[in-house]
Amino acid sequence: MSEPTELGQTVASLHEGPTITRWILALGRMTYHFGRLEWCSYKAIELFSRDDLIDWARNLQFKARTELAREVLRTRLKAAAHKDLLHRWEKFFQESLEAAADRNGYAHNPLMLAVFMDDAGDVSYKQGIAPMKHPLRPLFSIEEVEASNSRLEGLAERMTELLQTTSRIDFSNGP
Amino acid sequence: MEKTAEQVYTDLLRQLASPAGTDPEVLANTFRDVAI
Repeated sequence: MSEPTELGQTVASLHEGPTITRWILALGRMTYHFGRLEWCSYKAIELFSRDDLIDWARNLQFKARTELAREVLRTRLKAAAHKDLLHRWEKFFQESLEAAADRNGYAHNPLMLAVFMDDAGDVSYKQGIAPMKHPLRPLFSIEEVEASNSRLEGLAERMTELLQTTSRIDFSNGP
Repeated sequence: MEKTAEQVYTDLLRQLASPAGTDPEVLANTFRDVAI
């Protein structure tokens, strides 16, 4: 039986062993942290808007629901003159929307192996998530996904603190 | 002057976020009828 080729070994490593485990963990963490941001968009509307809005907003996609939550917070916090808190929410929502674009790139595309051959015939490999809608763009690397997860985790922690702080405000005199 | 799609969307969000607004389904439907 012939020895497996380097390419064969590299392809096999995509499906088993520590490499694929690292990818699975990174993509799982992304789903977990992003779910917390999804929860925030529901909770912000539920807590700070009128009662009938949340049921209607459940049918919205993340982007539209987050933009609606941002508008709800703008309305409430401007009326209550909480300028600094509103600024922090604005920054949080902006970063959440940017994170959604990253998430879509990672979650809706396949993990692939690109094989490169230079003029001398030397072969090299790169593993990553291929952005299928944009075939000329480079693959997303595992390092990019992990860095994105760190940002998501930080966002989720800020979200918790913002919700707690905002929940303590008395909006009963507002609009 | 006609509003852009973005202005129409912003108006919808503002009205939805208003604490004493119209029923969200009714409001969204009125915007759905706007030609953009």
